[in-house]
Amino acid sequence: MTVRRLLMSSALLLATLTATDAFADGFAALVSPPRFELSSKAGGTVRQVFELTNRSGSPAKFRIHTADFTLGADYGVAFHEELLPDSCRPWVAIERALVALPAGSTIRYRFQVQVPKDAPDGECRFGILIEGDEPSMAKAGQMQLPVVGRIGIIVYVTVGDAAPKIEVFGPEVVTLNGQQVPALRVHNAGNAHTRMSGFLSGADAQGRKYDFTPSDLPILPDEVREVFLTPSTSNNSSPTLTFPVTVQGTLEWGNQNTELNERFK
Amino acid sequence: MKPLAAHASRLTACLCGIALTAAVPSVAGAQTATGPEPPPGYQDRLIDDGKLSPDISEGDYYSSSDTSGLAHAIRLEGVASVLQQEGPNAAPDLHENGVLLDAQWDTHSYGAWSLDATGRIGTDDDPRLTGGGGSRTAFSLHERGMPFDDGWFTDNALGDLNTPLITLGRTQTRFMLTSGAMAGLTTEWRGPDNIQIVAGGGEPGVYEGIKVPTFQTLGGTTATVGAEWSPAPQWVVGAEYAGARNAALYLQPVDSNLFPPEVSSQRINSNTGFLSAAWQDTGNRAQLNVIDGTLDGNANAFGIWADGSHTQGAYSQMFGLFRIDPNLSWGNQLITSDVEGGYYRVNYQSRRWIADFGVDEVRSVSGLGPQTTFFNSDARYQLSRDIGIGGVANLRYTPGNTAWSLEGYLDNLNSLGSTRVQLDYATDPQTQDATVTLQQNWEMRQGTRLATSVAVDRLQSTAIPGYPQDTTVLRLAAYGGGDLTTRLSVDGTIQWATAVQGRAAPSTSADVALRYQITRHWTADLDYYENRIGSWTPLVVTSPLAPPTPTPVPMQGVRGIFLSVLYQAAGGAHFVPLGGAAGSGAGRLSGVVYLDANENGRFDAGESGVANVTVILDGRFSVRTDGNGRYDFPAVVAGHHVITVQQDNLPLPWTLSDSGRTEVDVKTRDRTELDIGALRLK
Repeated sequence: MTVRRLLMSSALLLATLTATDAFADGFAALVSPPRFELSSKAGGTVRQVFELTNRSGSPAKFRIHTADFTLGADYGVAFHEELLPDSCRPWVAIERALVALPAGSTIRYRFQVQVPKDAPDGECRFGILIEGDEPSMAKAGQMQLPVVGRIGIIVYVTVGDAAPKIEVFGPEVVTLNGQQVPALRVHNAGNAHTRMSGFLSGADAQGRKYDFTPSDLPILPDEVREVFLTPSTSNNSSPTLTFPVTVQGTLEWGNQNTELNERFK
Repeated sequence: MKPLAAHASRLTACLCGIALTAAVPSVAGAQTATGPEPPPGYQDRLIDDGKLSPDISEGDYYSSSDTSGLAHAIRLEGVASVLQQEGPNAAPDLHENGVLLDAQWDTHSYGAWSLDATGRIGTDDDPRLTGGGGSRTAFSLHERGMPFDDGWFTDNALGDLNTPLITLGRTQTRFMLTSGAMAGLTTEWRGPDNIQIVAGGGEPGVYEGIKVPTFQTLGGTTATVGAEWSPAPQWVVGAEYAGARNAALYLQPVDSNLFPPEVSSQRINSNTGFLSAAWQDTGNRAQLNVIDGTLDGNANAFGIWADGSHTQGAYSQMFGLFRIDPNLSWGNQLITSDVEGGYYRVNYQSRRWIADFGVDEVRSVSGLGPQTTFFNSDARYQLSRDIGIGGVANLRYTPGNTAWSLEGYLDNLNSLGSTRVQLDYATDPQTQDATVTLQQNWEMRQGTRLATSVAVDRLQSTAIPGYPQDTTVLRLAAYGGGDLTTRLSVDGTIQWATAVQGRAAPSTSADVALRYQITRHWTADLDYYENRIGSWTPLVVTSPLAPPTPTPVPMQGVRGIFLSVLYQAAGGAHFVPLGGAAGSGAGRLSGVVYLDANENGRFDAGESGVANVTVILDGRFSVRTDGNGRYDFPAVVAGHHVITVQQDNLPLPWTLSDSGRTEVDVKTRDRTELDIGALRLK
């Protein structure tokens, strides 16, 4: 026990010989989950929680508000702070507009969607934006620009019996990330968004076999989109295909699926 | 063919809520002490008109918090618990009360520190908590990442610790050296070319206790010293020595036949050396290890093993050979010994498949142990987005005692949650066990969780010759929990089993945990658990000459209550010196900007400092001189720097040539004084 007493005394002495001071760095926030896919009946209320973490080394304030969003032809998201026609944001309430977080800390932030009793079947879509309070300086060539970090959470609320209805059109070949890949043009004739999934396989003109992964990007109601079929093999995650290419398998979305057996050229 | 822009990756980022960055120059001047301006146009509604009480289940951070200083954290927990046993030969109630402390803090120049300490409170010295040693405490103090010049860092510790090991000794596939507990000192140094030097020594010991661990020393001494480095790219070589003097074995051997009696029961002396070399490139790795030592004066024992791995595409393979003599220890720790053999494992992963296969052949060097071959394999195949199937097969082949098992399952994602149906079958020379299980993880609203399972288990045994046993047991289990309020959450499990055919002990167990967030820093936990094995009447063999007889076994049970009150707080920011990364070595750079009246290049008595001039470090960081002309950069990353001075506030007719540009070297934890003299214009 003598050894332990000596060690304990030394530990207490060393523990008193250190000091602290203050430093800071920029915007870094994390939200979880990044997307909500909810459902409600007309007249119902859905309340949900996301976690917001300040990942920076200094305290930060965040401004939180809703926004409508649209998807561009390239799937780029554009947020609109003004109400768009048919926006459901008046159904939405958030917990508070301003949140202050110490470095490294997390809060559980609540929001709710109160669907009116007379709301028709359909889908309520909106974004929740979390923006840094204080701009930091970003260097652009010789210039320094104040920038504000922003994180967007996407929320979908299916109301009533709304559902996607996918029509698959003929095969196409498109260029994605510099590579030619097969794609399917699809139309969502339903009143809720969906994403495509499934396990597909096939071969190219040289007989090489591939797995194909459908892009799982959202297809909003009334939209026509390309679903990219990205090839991969056990040894190569981005192979170059030689067309024509055949693809077979089951394409799935929502609670539905269809058998695919297409030739892309 | 239709050309499309390559947007897939960007797109995924946008739609998944990854940080976007928007240039908003006008915002810079719009910030106020009360927060930013709301967006133009629509104003969001607030839940309960903004009167919603904060959800502090993860901490209340809406109010201001201690964010000053370097990163620091403290966790102080007071616990009280009681454990009660029921049934024949039940032990007396076990009370365990105490305090646990965990504190961490960063420093500018001496790395990150942490102190862990526990203290048991009470008047009794229950040998179940102290191992008979009587200590009521455990503690350790660590210093990590203390920087030095030329890229060196050190970790140091004292208290109740584990013996240090070089990286080559602890990152292995099949065998690794063990790190033992001791009360002592350790140090580790890391430098260029991946140099690592470790050393440590002290009195061996063990941790005792359940809720409040204490450290009991066992007497004797143990010590180790080792080093590794990279003599060439892709290569690492290392060596380490471990010794013990008059020390008790940390773990008693399972089979004392493998060790001389004095080793199993008495204090030991040992000397062991370890040599290792590893080579690695992209996708391939190989490591050769040699160990040699003596234990209590026995003949030298020797071990050698080689591991390799190869990864290509979706396949990864590991393989190796080994031969380790009996009677090998590492300090006062017994290591896997008296074995020789080899192994091979392969893994395959794709979007639809996950599959593993492995075979191990293990024999006894001395011939006293068994010869066993293990085959293990499992595979899972995703039939569709919502349905997956899989199976596991294991075989243990030992002459006269071969056993094998099979498992098959189907997973289904559905509107109720996720469902698994599973079949298991296992057999050895005396028993066959078949089980059907249905598990369901229920889809629940946010903040709640529920999982249930039901299983039917049929066990057939011929362990008693002439009296085959056939038993069927029904098992039910549930796990659930949720947030009852924003401050109170509950989690619980319950399990129940009973024999529906044949002889088996009925059992129930339950565990309920309540957590209440009192305030932002304070939390209270209350945990109650109870396990009961009901009375039953198994067949018991009392004599080889008499038939087995049904013998009642009384009910046995254990219950416990655990209460914890926890305080935790954290704040500050990690130290980042000017011009460096977090944790870099740093020194202080300071001095005086003065009017060099006698032009001798020194700041002499009678000469004046210049107030309010700007001193710039590396053209990036600036500070103004105080009323005496003094400037100070308290933490500058170690290395070469350039100081310049902005001359605007220099009084006429004084000036600095080349803006006072001066080059200076700053060393870790050193204080560098640099005075800058202005000269009179001539």
